Amino acid sequence: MQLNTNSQLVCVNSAMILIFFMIISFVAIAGWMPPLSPELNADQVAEVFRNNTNRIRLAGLVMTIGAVFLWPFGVAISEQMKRIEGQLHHPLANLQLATVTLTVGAIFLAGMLWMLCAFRPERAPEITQIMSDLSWFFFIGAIPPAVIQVLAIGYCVLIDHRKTPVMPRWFGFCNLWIATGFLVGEGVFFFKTGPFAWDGLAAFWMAAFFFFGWIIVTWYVVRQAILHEAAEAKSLSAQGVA
Amino acid sequence: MQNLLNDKATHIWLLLMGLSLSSWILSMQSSRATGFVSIAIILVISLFKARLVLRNFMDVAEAPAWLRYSVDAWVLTVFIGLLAFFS
Amino acid sequence: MNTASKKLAPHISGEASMWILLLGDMVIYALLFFMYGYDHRQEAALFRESQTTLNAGFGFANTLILLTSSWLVVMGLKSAKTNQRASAANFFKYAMLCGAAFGVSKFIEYGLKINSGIELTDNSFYMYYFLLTGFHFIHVIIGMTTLFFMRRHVLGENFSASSDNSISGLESGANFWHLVDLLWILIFPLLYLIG
Repeated sequence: MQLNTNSQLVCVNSAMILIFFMIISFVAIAGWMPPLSPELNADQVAEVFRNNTNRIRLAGLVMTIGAVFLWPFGVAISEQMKRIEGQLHHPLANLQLATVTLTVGAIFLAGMLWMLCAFRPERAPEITQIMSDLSWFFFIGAIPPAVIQVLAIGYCVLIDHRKTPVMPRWFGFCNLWIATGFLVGEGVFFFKTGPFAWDGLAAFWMAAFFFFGWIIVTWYVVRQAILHEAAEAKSLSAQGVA
Repeated sequence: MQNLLNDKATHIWLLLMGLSLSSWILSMQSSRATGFVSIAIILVISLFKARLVLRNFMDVAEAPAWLRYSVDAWVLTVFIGLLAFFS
Repeated sequence: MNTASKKLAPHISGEASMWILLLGDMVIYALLFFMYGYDHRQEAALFRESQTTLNAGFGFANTLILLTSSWLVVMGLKSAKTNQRASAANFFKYAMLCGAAFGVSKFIEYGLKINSGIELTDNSFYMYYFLLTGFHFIHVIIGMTTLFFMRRHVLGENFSASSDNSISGLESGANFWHLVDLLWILIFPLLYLIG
C-alpha cells in the first residue's frame, strides 16, 4: 500500500492561507495597525464603526474565513506528533488539536464581533463598545489555550528519542520559548495604556511577532517532517518490490 | 569542606555576593541612585555579575565562539540601552 | 592540576538547542527592560517617587538567595559528574529550598505592598514592578520544578555519570536555573536601586 501524504501537505499549507486572510482582513481592509485604542470612550468607538461600517463588516467576514484555516494546520501538526507518540495512544497530539480549536474559535469570534458591532452601528454607543472590547479580549487576550498548545508540541518533540527525530529538537525548545513570549500578552485585561494594553508594544506587537513567527517556523518544520515521511515510505516500498 | 572553599565556583559566588552588597550600598547615599555616575557604576556592576554567571556558571566561557559573542552582544546591548534611558 | 582539561575543544553546556530558549528569554527580558527604561524616562518623577515605596532590602535578600542557589546547582552538577549522587541530590534539594525561600520573601513583599494599598494598576511603575517580578516568579516556579526532576533523575536508576545524555540533561536544567538568577540580577538594580 502506497502511503499518501498529499492530504497532510494540503493541511499544513493552509497555514499560508490563514496568514494571507488575517493580514488582508486586519491590515488591508480594516487598517487596524495598531488596533483601536482601549482608551477610546463609547462615543469614539461607536463612531469608528459608524464611519467604516461596510469595511469593518468585510474585514470581520474575511477574518472568520481565515480563522478556520488554522484548523487543518493544527491537524497536520497532530498527525506528525502521532508519529512520535504512536498510533494507539497520542494524548499530546489530541491535546494540541483540542487547544488549537479554542484559538480558532477566538479568532473566529473576534471577526464575528466586528461584524456584529458594524451590523447596527446606529445603536447606543455603550453596546457597541462592550462588543468591541469583547472582540479585542478574544483577539489578543485568549492566550491560555495557545500556551498549552505550544507546550504540548514542545514537550512532544523533546520526548522523541529515536535516532533521527520526527521534528528537530531545536523546534521543541523554540515552542517552549514561544510559550513564554505568549504570556507577556496576558496583561490586556488590566491596562488601557502602555506596552501591556491590547494595542501596546508587548501585548500587540510582540504577540503578533510570536504568533506569526510560530506559524511560519511550525509550517516549515512540519512540512519537512511530512516530506521526510513520504521519502521514507517510498524507499521502504521500493525495498519491498526488490 | 576544604574542596568547597578551594573551588573556583565558590570564589565566583563570593565575588557575586560582594558585588551585590556594594551596589546596594552605593544606592543608599540617597534613597535611590540618581546621579549619572552612580547609575552607570551600578549598571556596570550588574551586567558584570550577569556575565560572570553566564561565563562561569553556564559555562559560556568554554562554549563555541558564536555563543560567546551572542552573550557578549546581549550584555553590551542591555548596558548601552539602559545607560541611554537612565542618563 | 586540571589545566589539561581546560584546553579541550569548545563545549556547550547542556543541549545546544536549549540555548534557543535561554537566549530567547534573555531577548524578551531585554525588551521589557528597555520598555521600563523608556517609560522611566517619560515619567521620571512619578517612577522615582513610587520607587521609594519599595524596600530594597527584599530585593537584596532575594539576590543573595538566588546567587546562593545558583552556586548550589553548580556544586550539585560537579558532584553528579563525579558520580557522587547523594551529594548531588542534596545540593539540588538545597537549591530548591532557596527557591522556596525566594517565594516566601516575594509573598511577604507582595503582601506588604497590597496591604499598604498599592495595586498593579495604580501607575506605570507599579505595573512594571508587579509584571517584571511576576513573570520572573513564573520562571522561579518552572525552575524549581526542573530542580525537582533533576534531583529525581540523579537518584534514579537511569542516571549514569558517564552518560552524555544524563549529564547534558542535568546541565540544561541547571542552565535554566541560572537564567532565573541572571534575570533577577538585572531586575534588582532596575526596580530597587537606580532611578
